[in-house]
Amino acid sequence: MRSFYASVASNTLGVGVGLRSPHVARILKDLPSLDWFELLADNHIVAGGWARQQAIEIAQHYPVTMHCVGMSIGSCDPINFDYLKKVKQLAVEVQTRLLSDHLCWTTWNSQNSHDLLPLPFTEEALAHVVDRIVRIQDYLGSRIAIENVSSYLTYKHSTIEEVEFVNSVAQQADCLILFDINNLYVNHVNNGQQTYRYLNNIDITRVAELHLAGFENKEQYVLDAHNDTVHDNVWALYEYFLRRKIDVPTLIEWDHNIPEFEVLYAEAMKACQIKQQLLREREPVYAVS
Amino acid sequence: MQFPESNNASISLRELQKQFWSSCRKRENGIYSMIRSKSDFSPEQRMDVYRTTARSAHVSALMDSFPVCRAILGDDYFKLLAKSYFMQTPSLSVDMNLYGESFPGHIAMLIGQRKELKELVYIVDLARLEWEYQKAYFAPNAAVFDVDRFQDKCRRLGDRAVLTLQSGISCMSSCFRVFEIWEMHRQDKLEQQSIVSNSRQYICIYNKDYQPLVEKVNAGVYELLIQIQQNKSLAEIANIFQGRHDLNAALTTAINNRWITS
Repeated sequence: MRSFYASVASNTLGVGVGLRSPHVARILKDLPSLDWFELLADNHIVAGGWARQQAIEIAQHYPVTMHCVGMSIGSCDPINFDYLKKVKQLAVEVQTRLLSDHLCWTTWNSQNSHDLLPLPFTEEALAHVVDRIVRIQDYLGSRIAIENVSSYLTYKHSTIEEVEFVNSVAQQADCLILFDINNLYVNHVNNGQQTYRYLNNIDITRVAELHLAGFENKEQYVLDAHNDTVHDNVWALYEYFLRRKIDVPTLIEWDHNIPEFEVLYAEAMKACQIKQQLLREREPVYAVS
Repeated sequence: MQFPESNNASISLRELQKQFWSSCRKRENGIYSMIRSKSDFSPEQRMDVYRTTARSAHVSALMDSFPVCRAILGDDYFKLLAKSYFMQTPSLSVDMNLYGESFPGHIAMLIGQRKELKELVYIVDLARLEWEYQKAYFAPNAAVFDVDRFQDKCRRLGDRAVLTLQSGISCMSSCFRVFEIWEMHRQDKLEQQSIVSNSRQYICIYNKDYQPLVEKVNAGVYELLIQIQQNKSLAEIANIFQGRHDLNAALTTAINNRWITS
């Protein structure tokens, strides 16, 4: 499918962070050395005002990607084309490198949960989601990436393994995958998701972006709160994935208890270091005669 | 994770979403039998995570949109009101910033029911002001007055011409000193002042250079903005103003502030 956006995310994007409003003035003043920023599209699609302007000004200095939460890809409600129209306008305006949303549902009967609700992994859900993504992509004129979501339950009547479901959606809808490695770990703790099996089987040809974030330990479960540094176990999974495919843009997300920008920056640099270390390991060693 | 383990495969996606939603909003338990449960984390506890997350997201949005009301009521009491609003008012917009439009009305309703709110009757007007401020924040930047468009409109329509306001503008009136209360809390200057205004207070909330602004206006300017909002023509407005307010002065103020754009 052709794309009218700047280009689909590729290895030209290295490590970025999610743009959050408390950091914008500082970023525009100092222009820190970062490869790209991800915009939470829903915060910037309003017709005007400072929120819209922030997105435009950041895009003048950095490549950006757009991450949505409002497509409600798995919902049984009609597709919200008013929303998609606004997303499309912003995408063109900021020349987004990638447009993504979540493999979940958020609305019921026109009411919005503002939460990422879990889908059953069934043949019916697969066909439903594929059909909607195809129509969404047709409208947007570009491929989107779908993100595996964190969850706190699974359904008894699911018949497909999650990784297989994600791969099938991507292949049948011809879309990309935004692989959230923190979500994989959260689901491992909460639902017994098998992490290495997932990492080994995800369709790397379609993974266009990686997400990393922190979670909150609630004893009984872990909450995908995006309010802390990336956990060591998640870094380990990240490194494991990079050994399969290294040229994937990586993003650090932080949504609650947002710290100083330096903290996010340090997390991004940690991801860079892991990538660079793996690249060095791959360099051929020549014998000196 | 082992598959398949399906014992109620007949449930449709639509039915599952309906059951899930009912469980989230009304604590109905039909969904529990569809949820896998291992260890000591029961289906009900798993659904509680979603209930709590959804409620927290909505309450947080209200806390962000009504910071002065929150400061006056205190976090705990504000959260109580916000939770009761959430239970009655689902979000109908994909944009979380639009959640809370009817929150001032919800507070007004509770004032009649809760005696601890009776002395805070001005809080309803304050909430209205905060909501309009929030709307102005997300409004497009106001354009300067378009003289050519205005002249063209007057040429074509004469005194039937209707003026156009900037999209982010709103105005309100109150018998309380809500402007001063709002400003004091924003500046953290909490002085003891009378909350009742000697005369009715008129307030305009608008957007200028990407910033929402709040300003006290006189009765004439307020009347002008209200009449334009109601699509009254220039001739009708002149008629209403006759002998009551200075129309030229009100128009000059509104145009200079970019409240009227054409």
